[in-house]
Amino acid sequence: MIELKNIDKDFITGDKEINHVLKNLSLTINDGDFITLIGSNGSGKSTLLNTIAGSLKPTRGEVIFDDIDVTKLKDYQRAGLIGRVFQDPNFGTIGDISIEENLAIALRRGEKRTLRWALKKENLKRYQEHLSSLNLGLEGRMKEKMSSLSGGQRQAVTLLMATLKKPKLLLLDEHTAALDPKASIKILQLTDTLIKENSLTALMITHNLKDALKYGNRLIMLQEGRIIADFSKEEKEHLSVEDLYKKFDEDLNTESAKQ
Amino acid sequence: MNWSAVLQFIFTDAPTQGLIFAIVALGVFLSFKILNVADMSVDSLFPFAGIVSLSLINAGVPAFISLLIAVALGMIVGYINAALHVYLKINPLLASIIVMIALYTPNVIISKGNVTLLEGKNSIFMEVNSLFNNMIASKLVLLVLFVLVFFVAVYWFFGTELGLSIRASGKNDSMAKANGINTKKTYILGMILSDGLVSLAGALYGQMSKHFSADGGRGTIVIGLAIIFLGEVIFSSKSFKLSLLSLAIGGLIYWLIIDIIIEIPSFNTNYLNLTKAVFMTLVISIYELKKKLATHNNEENPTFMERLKRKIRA
Amino acid sequence: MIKSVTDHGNIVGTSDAGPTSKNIALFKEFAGITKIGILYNQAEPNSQVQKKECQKACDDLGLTLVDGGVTASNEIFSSLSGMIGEGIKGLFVPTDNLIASSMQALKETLIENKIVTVCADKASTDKGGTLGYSVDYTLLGKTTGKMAVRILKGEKISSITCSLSDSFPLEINEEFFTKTGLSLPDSLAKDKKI
Repeated sequence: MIELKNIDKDFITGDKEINHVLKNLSLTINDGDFITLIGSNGSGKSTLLNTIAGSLKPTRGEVIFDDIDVTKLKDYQRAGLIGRVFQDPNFGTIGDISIEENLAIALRRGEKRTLRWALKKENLKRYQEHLSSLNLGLEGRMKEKMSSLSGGQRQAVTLLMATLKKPKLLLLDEHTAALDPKASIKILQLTDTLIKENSLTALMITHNLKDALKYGNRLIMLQEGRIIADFSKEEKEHLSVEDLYKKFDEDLNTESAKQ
Repeated sequence: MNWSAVLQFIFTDAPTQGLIFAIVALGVFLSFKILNVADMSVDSLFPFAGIVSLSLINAGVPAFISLLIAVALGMIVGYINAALHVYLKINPLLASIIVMIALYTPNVIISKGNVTLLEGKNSIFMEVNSLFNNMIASKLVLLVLFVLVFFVAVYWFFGTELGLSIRASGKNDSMAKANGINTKKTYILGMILSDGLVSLAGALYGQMSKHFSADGGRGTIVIGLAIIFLGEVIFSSKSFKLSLLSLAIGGLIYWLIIDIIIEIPSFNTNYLNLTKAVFMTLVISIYELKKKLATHNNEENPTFMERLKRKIRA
Repeated sequence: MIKSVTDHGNIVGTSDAGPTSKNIALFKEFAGITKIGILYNQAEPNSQVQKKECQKACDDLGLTLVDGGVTASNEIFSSLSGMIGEGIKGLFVPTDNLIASSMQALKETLIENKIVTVCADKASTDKGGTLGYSVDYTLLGKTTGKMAVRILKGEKISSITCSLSDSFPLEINEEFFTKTGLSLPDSLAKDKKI
C-alpha cells in the first residue's frame, strides 16, 4: 500500500513568486489498484508522479511505501520499489547500447551492482522469453542497439524493463502520448496485460479521457494540485467523457466562486 | 637521406609511442565517451605521473613500485576532479581545467623544471632488458603486455553490472537513476579509472624516455581524442569490444602517420602542431559524415541493399 | 640591449657569448661531415642569434645546416629524429636552456647514430655532447666581480668596457668516443683541456 500524506509542492518562480503546484494532497493507493489519473496541463500530474518517484522532494508531507517513510530517500534509492515509463521513448532506455544491455540494467534495479558479469547466459534466456511475448520480433535482435528500434518498440521494451523486476508501483507518465495511434493502442493493451498478469499496482497518467475510463479500476481527477474526484470501478462504468468534462468545469466554478 | 635511420626511427618509435598513447586514449575514452567530459587535466596529469615515477626511481624506489605509486596518485587526482563536479557542482570541464592548472605547481616543484633518470638507476624497461638484452624488444614486450592486460581488464570491467551502470549513467542520467543507480558514485568511479589509466601511460612514458619536463604534457588530450576519432572512423563503434580495439590500432596508426610526417625533409616540428590540428579536423569531419550517412540509412530510409534484403524476405 | 661594448650608457656587464664560428669549424676536423643540424629554442632570442652565427659559419665552411628549431621540450626528440633521418652527421647545440635540460636524454640517440655533437656550453657537452669550445663561467664570473668592484669604488659605468669572454677551453666528452668507436682527431688532441 502506498500512501501520500498531506503533500504540498511549491515551486519558486523567477520573481520570487511561489507556485503551489500540489496542495495538501493525500492519496492511498491499495495493492492491486490500477489508477488512471487525468487533469489539465498544469494540474500537477507529472509533479505528483515525480514526488512519488523521488525525483522531486515535497515541500511538506510524506510518501510512504508499505508503512516505510521514503520521503527523505532520493530517486535512485527508491528505484527498487518503482517501475517507470516516461512519455519520451528515448528517456527510459539507452539508445547507444544493446537491447539486452538495457534489460540487464533494469534487472538489477534497486540491487547492489557488483562485479558479476552483466549479461549472464541464464538471464539472456529470460530476456528472450519476455521479448517473444511482445510479438514484435525483438527476441532475435537482442544484440542490436536500442536506437535501431521504433518509438513504439522502445516503449514496449521500456514497459518490459519496468516490470522485469516486479515493482511495488508502476508509474506511467502519458507513455503513449508520443506514439502513433496504432502503436498507442498496442502499448496500452500490453500495459493492461502486464499489469493483470503480474498483479501490479499502477498509476497511469493519460490525456485520453476514453482510455482513462476504459482501463483500470479507479479514476482520479486532478485539478490545480487537488484531487477533485476519485471514482471506483463501478462508478467509472457509468461515466462518459462528457461527465468528466462537466466535473472539471463544476469544480472550476466552485473554486472561482470561493474567491 | 639516411634511410636506415629513418626506417629504424619509424619502426621503433611508432609502436612504442602508439602503445603508450593507446593507453592514454583508453583513459580519455572513459572520460570523453563514457562520462561525456573533455578531461583537460590530462595535459598536466600525464607529465605528473611521469615526473613522480622518475623522481621516485631517482630517490631509490624500485621502478615497478614507483609506477604503482604514480598510478595511485593519479587516481586520487581523478577523485578530486570528479568531486569538484559532484560535490561542489562545478561544471565538469571547468573542474578538469582547475585540476590541470593546480597540477602545474607540483609538476614544477617536484621536477625542478625537468627530471632525468640518473645514471645507475633503472626503469622497468631496463630491468626487463636483463632478460632480453635488446632495449627495443624489452620496450615492445613490456608495452604490449601492459596494453593487453589493461584493455582486457577495461573490457571485462565494463561488462560487469557495476561497469554497465557507469556506462548507463554517462549516457542517460535520468534512466540510470530510475534504475537505482547512484550516478554521483559512478561518475567518481569512472573518473578515477580514467585518470588512473592516463597516469599509467604517463609513468610508462617517463620511464621509457628517461626524461620528463614539467610542461611536457601539452597536447596529450588532443592526441587522445585524435586516436579515439581515428579509431571510430576506421572501425565504426558497432560494439564496445570493437571500440576498445580501435583505440589500440588507432594509436599505432596515428603515430605511424606522425612519425612519417616528422621524417619528411625540412619538416620543422613547429608545423607538427598545425598538422595535428588539420589531422584532427579531417578525422572528425569524416567521422561526422559517416554518422550522417548511417542515420540516413536506417529503418525509415533503408539503403539499396536493405531494400533488396527486405524484398527477398517478403 | 647595448650598442657596442664601449657605447652602452649606464648598462655594463659581461657576456657569455661563445665562439660559434670556432665551434662550427670543429666539424671540419672530422672526416665525412658535410651536413649538420642545430637544436635550439626558437622562442629564445639568444638562441636565434647563435643560429644566425651558425648559419653564417656553415656557409663560410661549405656545410649544409638543417634547422631543427623547436618551441617545446616534447618536440626535441622528434626534431632530432627528423634531422637524423635527413642524414646529418653532426649536431650543434648553442647555449640554450631548453635544449640543455634534455641533453642527458638525447645522449643515447646521439651515440647510437654516431652524431658528433658540438655544444657551446660545458654542461651540455658533459651531459650528452661530444666536444665544444665553451665559455669558462668561473673566469667570467671573476671578471664580472672585478667590474662590480670598480663601480663600487666610484668609476663611471659608461667608461667601463663590457667584457666578452676571451677564454674558451675545449671540453671533450670521452664517453662519446669510447662508445661510438670514433677517435678524436689528432689536430684536436693537443688543444685538449687537461
